[in-house]
Amino acid sequence: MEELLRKLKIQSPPQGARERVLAAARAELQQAAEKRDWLDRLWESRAFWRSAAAVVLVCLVAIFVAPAGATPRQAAPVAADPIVVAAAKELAASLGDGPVLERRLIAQLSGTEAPSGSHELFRNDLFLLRNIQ
Amino acid sequence: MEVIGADQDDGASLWLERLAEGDPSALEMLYDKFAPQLYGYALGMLGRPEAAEDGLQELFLNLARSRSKLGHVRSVRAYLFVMLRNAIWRRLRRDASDEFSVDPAAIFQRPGPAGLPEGAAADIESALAKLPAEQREVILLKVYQDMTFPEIADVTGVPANTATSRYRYALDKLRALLPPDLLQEK
Repeated sequence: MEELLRKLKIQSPPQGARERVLAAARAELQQAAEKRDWLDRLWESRAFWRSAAAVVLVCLVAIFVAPAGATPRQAAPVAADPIVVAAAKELAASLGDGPVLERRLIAQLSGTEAPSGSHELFRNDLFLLRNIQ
Repeated sequence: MEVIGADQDDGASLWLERLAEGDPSALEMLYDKFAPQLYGYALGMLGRPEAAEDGLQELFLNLARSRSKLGHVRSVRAYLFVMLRNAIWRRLRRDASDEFSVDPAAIFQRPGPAGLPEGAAADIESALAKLPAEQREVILLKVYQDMTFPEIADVTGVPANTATSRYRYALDKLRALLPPDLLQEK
């Protein structure tokens, strides 16, 4: 049986198959090479690395600098001492600063907000208020 | 495990290395050396010249796409047959609903060898077409590609014993399918 089968020869690829198959494969090879070239050029370009460095720098700034400059958190409302409230109201009224100063004085005296270092007048008010008590 | 055709590569592994470096002339070298055997296998499995050429083209496209992995291939012939087999079986599964059909005079060269009755090639093509694809595959690899059973096992991914028994079953079926007068030919 095997001898009988071996007597027959299988056909060869048809005319033109070589060119068709190889043309398609060459095009694929060329496409792969171009894609690779593009990636290589990107990898080797200064602009790519500068952009990457800039992104890293911005990220670092965002991570480390932002908390330092961030707005202090709003103090949670607390039940203030009536004496403190009255004194803050009186002092704020006498200075003409109104409810804003009054709220800050209450927060300061109740210990829920750190004193603002830039407001000289406010510090003096606080000193006075503490001495009154 | 036996490495199929490792001694038959004749420097083909160097062509794969050149292909891995992007040299298109390596494709031509590989085609000229292996295409006739690969095409024969694809033609016997698929039964139609255009389908066999598609399989061959898919193989060469895959070679171009996966060129960066080609440096580690031990046997080029085995690698090519396995790649082509994957393409063939994908196609066979995709076309599973279609009846397997062989184009007239598609597989074997015509005229047939002297001493064989006219129509013998057509009878054998028709009988091969009636075999299950796994059995037809073993016949094609053993008889027409001169592979040993361990080599067939490497390509098809089955144990060598399974390949051997598939071959025996296939021969039995062919004997049953072919005209008795053809079997008495010497």
